[in-house]
Amino acid sequence: MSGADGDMLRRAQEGDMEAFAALFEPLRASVFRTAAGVIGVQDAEDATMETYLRAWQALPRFGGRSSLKTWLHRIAFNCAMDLARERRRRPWTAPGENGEDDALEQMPDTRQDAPDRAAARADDIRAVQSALARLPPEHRHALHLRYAEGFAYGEIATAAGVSVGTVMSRLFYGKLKLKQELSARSPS
Amino acid sequence: MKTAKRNEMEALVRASAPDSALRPAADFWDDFRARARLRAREETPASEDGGARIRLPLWRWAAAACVAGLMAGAFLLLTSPAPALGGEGSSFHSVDVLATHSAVMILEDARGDSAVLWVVDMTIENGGDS
Repeated sequence: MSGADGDMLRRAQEGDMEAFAALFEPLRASVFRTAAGVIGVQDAEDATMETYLRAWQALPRFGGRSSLKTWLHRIAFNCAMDLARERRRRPWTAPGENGEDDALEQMPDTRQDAPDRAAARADDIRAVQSALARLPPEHRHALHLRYAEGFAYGEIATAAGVSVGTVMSRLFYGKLKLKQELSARSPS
Repeated sequence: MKTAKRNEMEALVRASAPDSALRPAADFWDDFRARARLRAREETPASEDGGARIRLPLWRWAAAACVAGLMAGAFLLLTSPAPALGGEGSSFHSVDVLATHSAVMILEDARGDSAVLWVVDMTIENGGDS
């Protein structure tokens, strides 16, 4: 953490909301994606807000034993799981299944240049989203942090509150199940 | 998907992460400020670390106070001038220690007419009520 960030952290711990916002805004998109990965897009915004509110409450006790990023993601995972338990009856939906914006809309429109390739890519992404939706939330979380956010194993372990071995196991079985889902979709 | 190669799959997991539904920053932080004011914050970091050292269970404080009291008593006994008792020195007849302990040691100084009472491994249980 740079000196400026350290100063910002100290101010945020003392109750400066502007410092808190400046410090944590860069992590918001990542927290949102993580929450969406665990509980779905429709609840991700609520989970993100709850994550930030809990972080605000707990920040005075942040002792720097982990990075702010992993500390915040730990809170985000707990919030997402809490929300998932609260709304257990509502099934997890992959982005786009409920008509929300999805990652496909983020992609550059290359259909005019290579329509077949872009369409195949879009199909693949939908298939992965659908397959992810069928995985346990802990596996989705680990896969998301590893491949979408680029977390190291140790960071995922801290964020999920489990051992590195458990993270490796979740990634292994998550990928295996994903592969099986995708293979079943396309036998060739 | 023709094949599910690992790298392709990882790239697809990466690509499948949505963030287009993210609220604009100004909206989010306005909402956050309004909600955060309703929530109490936890303790400051100074008390987190410092507090851990001084926030001992009550029984430990009580035990420490008893030990300090005994040491002070012993010190006074050893350093105060010997009272004129007509050559008849005082002595311990019995000692009752209400707290849990493993042994009691009494050192009597007949010449100085003083004594040291040493209670070994004394602990006070039940939150210091004894």
